[in-house]
Amino acid sequence: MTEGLCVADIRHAYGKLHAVKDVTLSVAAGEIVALLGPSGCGKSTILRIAAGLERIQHGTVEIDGHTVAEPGRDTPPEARSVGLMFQDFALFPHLDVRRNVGFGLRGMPSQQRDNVVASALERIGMAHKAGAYPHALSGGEQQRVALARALAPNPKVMLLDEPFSDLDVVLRDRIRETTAGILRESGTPTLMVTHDPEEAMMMADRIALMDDGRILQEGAPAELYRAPRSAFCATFVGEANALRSVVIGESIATVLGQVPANGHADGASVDILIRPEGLQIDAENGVPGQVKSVRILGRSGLATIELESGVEVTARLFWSNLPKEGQMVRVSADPAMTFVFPAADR
Amino acid sequence: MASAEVVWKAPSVRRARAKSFVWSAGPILAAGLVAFPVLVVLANVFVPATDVWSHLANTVLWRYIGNTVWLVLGVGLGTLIIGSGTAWLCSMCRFPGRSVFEWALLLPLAVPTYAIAFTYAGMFEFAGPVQSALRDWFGWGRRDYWFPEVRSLGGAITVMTLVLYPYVYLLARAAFLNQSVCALEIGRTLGRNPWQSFLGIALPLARPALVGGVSLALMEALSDFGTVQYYGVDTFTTGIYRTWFALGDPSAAAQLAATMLVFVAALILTEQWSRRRARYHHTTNRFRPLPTYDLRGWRAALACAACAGALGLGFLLPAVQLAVWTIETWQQTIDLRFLGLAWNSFRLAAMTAVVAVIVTLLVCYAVRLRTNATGRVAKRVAGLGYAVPGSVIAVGVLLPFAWLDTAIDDFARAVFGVSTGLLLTGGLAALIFAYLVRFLAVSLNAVDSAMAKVTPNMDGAARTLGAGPDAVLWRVHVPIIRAGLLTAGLLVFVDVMKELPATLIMRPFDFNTLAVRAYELASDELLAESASAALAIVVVGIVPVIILSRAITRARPGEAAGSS
Repeated sequence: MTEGLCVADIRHAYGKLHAVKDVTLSVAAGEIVALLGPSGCGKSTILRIAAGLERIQHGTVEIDGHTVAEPGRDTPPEARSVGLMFQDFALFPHLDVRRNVGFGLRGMPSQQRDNVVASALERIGMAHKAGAYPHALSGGEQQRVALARALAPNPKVMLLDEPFSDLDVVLRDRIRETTAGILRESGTPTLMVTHDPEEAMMMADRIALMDDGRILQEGAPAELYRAPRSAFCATFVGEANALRSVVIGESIATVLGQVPANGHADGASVDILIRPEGLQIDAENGVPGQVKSVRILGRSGLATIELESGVEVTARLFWSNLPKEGQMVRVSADPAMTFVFPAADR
Repeated sequence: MASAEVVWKAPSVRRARAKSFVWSAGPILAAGLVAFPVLVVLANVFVPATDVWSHLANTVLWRYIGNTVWLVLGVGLGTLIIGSGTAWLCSMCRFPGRSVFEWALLLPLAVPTYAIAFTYAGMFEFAGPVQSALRDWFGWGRRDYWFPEVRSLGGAITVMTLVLYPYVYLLARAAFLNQSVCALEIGRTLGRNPWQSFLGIALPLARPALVGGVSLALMEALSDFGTVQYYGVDTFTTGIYRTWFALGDPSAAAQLAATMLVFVAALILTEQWSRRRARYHHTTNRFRPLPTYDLRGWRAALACAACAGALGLGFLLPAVQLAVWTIETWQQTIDLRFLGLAWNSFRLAAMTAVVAVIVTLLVCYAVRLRTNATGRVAKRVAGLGYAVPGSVIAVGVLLPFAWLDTAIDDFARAVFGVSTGLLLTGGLAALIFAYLVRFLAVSLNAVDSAMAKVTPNMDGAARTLGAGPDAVLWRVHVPIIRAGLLTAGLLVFVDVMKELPATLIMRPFDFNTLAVRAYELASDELLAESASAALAIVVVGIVPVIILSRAITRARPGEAAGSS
């Protein structure tokens, strides 16, 4: 029996709109997987199908090896043992924190239920607010209560739908960390939907990048960042300077010098993407350029440089390496941070 | 978490599916319930016409149609002018007393059309206090002066306009408040004065709301029975009543009702059109405090007088007259018998309210659960009963119920040798059913808007936490929307208290309510004696007006944050 969640061959349409076009994805025990993509790419639909809130149209959903959904046979959400956490947290306004967390524990002896609720509140550091109502809680507190409520019945799978996007920036980092900690400690396989690549990289063991109803690339966060499979993947998970050129023989001539063709055919039109941190400015044999503007963002900064060809590129540099505006520099690209893809139609 | 030993008891999948079937059938049943009497009435079109029908068609049918058309035109124009005018004054201008008029202008809604009809007749007829006073002052004799006849088509139009204009006021006011300031300000920068910008910009922008308000008022006017009967104006409602009781021909009554449904259908279509249009009328989403015109001097006095006139004629005057009559006659009228009537009214209204709220709750929740087109259409149909006049519903319910009664009785006598009598039509069941058909829309609206407060995600959270559809309803929805359910029940309660035509036709033998009592005494020219029952209805009717006025003062978008 495979533990965890497995969705296979999911296709889903709303009327004529095909939201999901053949998606297969699995989440193993103890793993946090992020489903990352722009809004409207179909990622939330997959989550809702996994939870049972949306009827399945094609494919299957398995939880701990049992099929819970296939076309015409949906196990209702209440019988699936999934924990679900929403962007708006969806706390019940008429129940206090204690009874919100205890909502899913019906059928448990009350003594035991009290113990489970108490220890859940202890874990999220909310024991002192057990009697408070949701409207009296801050955003961060609501988020923690929602997490505790979803985890209290000890679900077989946790599903998080944009769980942090309603929180203010200051809180977000810390809460992401505690949430990831609690989820890992519980060992519950977790599928998280987000449109924020930073969030996905920070929390997930594995990221599935989606666009237009399909998974484009799946792998560890570092893999997505360092070896994107397409221009979309490269730019969605991080910034990049985009250049366009043509393969001549084994290499490509760019405004930043020669780049190896990496198997792209002679004469093919290609897009070259270079991460800002892949640009160095003190290289001896770099291309000359003039610094147009410098922005310091804490430890690193961004320098916009106009190359002699007139093209502007952006480099991310350690603060002590940042040039001054107007300074002449020589720019070169790190091949490890340079990606070549067939030119996309624009 | 720390609960590894929790034993998960999964609900049976098969049971969950059986329930889901029940949930999808619910709205369709409710729609059927409402559509049923209308279908019965329409089916009677195919029953061969009797002599009575051809007699009707040859004699009074055209008078019914003529009077109905005049009534619709008169009340439509009257409510449009009074309703939109007062709404504009109260939402766009500042003058002494505005904050009171803002909610007080709704008060005429508490007065049933027949109650104001009786009081106006009493006050303005030949022997009434107004004409008597005129004769005394000027020393006129009986034939020395002309005074408009109250008991006439014109009188009916006037009194109905005076109590029905708040429907237009309500929707027009909401529309004016929701109008983006920008459109109005652009109008002013282009050199329009306030009067021109009212006629040229605000009024056309509010057109869907005005049409909606007028059609609601007309639905009430069309279904009125007490006023037209008392004023001797022959319309469909009086015709149906007379054909049913005096001529004793149910199928001819049903055919009259079917003819009347043409008017009803026209109003429903107009109103639905206006609702669809109203949605597209927000050109921008920027709301700022409305620019109010500060009225001074004679303008302020005129605005004040206009609002005071509408309020005074539509509510204060009839209410005071009813109170005066009640004080004069209470020793004879407020007795055990009166308490019995009040108890009957209360019983009927309370039972209907409870059933209506339960049915509505199930329908709204079922539609939420199964978001398919069938459910939504079914809900729309279930909400159309408010447009169908009580007398039409009464005919549509009584015909099949009476047939069923006879069938059951025949069966029981043949098989068991006992007579069951009038099982359905002899009691309150048929009457409550008719009320339900008519007033389900009222509670549908209230419950619907309350249920919007429960976000779909709350349902989702509750479901994944192991609560089945029923448990979500009882553990999440009902506690959250409790106040909305109470409002829905109250609104239905008051509407049932006021209802006259269906009650008159369908009540069991020797069963009277306050409304029936007021009508009967007034018909016997005992106006002063009828006042106590009418006043009781008006007093109860003020409750929903308070609810409404509180709701509209909170409803302005963009102002919610600052007001709390």
